[in-house]
Amino acid sequence: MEDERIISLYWERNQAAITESEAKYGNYCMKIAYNILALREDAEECVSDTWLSAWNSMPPKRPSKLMAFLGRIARNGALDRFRSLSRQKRGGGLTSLALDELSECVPSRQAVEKELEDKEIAEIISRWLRELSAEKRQVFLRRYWYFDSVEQISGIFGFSRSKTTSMLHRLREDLRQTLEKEGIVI
Amino acid sequence: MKNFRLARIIGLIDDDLVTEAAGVKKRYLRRITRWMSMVPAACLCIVIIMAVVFGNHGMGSSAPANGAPMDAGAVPEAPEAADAPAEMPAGDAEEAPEVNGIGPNADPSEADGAAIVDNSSTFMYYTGPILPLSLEVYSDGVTAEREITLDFSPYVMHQVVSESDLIETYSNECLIIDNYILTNNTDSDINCTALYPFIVSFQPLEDNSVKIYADNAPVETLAYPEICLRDMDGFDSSLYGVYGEMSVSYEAFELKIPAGESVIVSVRLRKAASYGSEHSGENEGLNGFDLAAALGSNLEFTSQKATLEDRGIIEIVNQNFGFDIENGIKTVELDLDTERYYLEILRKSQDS
Repeated sequence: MEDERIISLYWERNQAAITESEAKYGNYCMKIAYNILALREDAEECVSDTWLSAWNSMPPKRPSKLMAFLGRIARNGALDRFRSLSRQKRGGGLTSLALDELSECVPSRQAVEKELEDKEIAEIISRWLRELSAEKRQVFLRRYWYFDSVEQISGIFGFSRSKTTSMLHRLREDLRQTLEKEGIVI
Repeated sequence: MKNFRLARIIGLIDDDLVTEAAGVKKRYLRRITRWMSMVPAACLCIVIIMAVVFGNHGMGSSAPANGAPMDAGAVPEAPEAADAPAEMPAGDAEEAPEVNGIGPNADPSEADGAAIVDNSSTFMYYTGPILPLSLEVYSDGVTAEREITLDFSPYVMHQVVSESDLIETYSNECLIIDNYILTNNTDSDINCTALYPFIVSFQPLEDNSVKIYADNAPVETLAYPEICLRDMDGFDSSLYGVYGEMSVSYEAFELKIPAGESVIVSVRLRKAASYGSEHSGENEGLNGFDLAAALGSNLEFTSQKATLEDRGIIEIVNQNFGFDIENGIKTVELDLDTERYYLEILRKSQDS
């Protein structure tokens, strides 16, 4: 079923919207949640919550890309759950590693600092991503949006592990410099 | 936690960047396999040039290998489904893959390349073809024989739970037993990664696991990122109207084929029928099953056979396999040059 039709089902309060979303994007959301949580049961709960959240969001929302919209809900839900599990000393591992890597992108404090809304910072990051080559952009997002492991990314792109690691390192450094130039505080 | 906040912020980037990254696999997988597919041709060119330059040096032939007979019935009981979740749909850079098929057939005259001449029906709910095994990287010394069985034993009345009620309904699923003899024609052992592709189902199956065995032992599989069917190697644009935007997922597994020997790979999966045909008025309940003989596979097939286990419960309405149930022709040789085989059936009425 086309995305537009699925969104219409949400707006019509037709529960088939959830069935169709699950059929079309269940694996996609599960992959994201599982990458972050690494626990099947938690990932499944997270994906179930995704459909509920989508149901509560549409209407009023009418996403232009349903795939990204649902993936984002699953991702946010999984990250929140991961954080909660980390506090309970559960979870960790690969996602912790990816999050630790991201701390390298956090700009150091500067004289001129801007407290921007998250959405505004995301726009700056989107612009930065668009200036990268497609390959670098995709490597970055597979790591920090989809939380693929370095090994998975290496396999996808046909890179050696060291090439992927060094590319990610340079990208993190580049992002940090970009955010610093903008005087952004995180 | 600043890094956690940054992770959340990255989650807010533009949608098109998110979907582009989801679809990355297809391009790189394709690039690698295409490049690898050129290797044997390049090697052959070098050999020919060498032969021309240096005179009468014949090309050595590979030693023949043993070909153990395949026995679909010898497949052991299926193990539990793998625990790892399926991969994300690779999709299109701009749009998510459309899992629903638009169904056969496009007007062949509108397509590039060879036209498909068939009389198959257009299905509103099209579940796509059964696809052949492939290797992650082309292997020059491996040949393959395929024997696929379409077993209609599941195509019967069964009970399902619907809103806490137990109701009886007919299943529209067929059991696919897709067997391969992979033969290593070289003097060295070959270690390779095999990929079994299958169309991502848009409707839940009674059993959606793909079970794979090598020499009758279950193999451990890894889910591979999905790609769009149209991006598979060998996809002919004339198939576009048929296969459209379907998503293909893979089960990947490691294989060792000893020098001069063969390994039997057996795959078992359920396949739901396509339904909702344009001919539903005249053939109400028409179900369709499609098979791709070579699409997307880099294996060098030496033969393919298809067997129909009709179980006395179906009648064939339309097909290009060559089955003839009445005359007992239930196993047929497949032509490797035929892009697409189709089988359209009706369920025999209970009292017939």
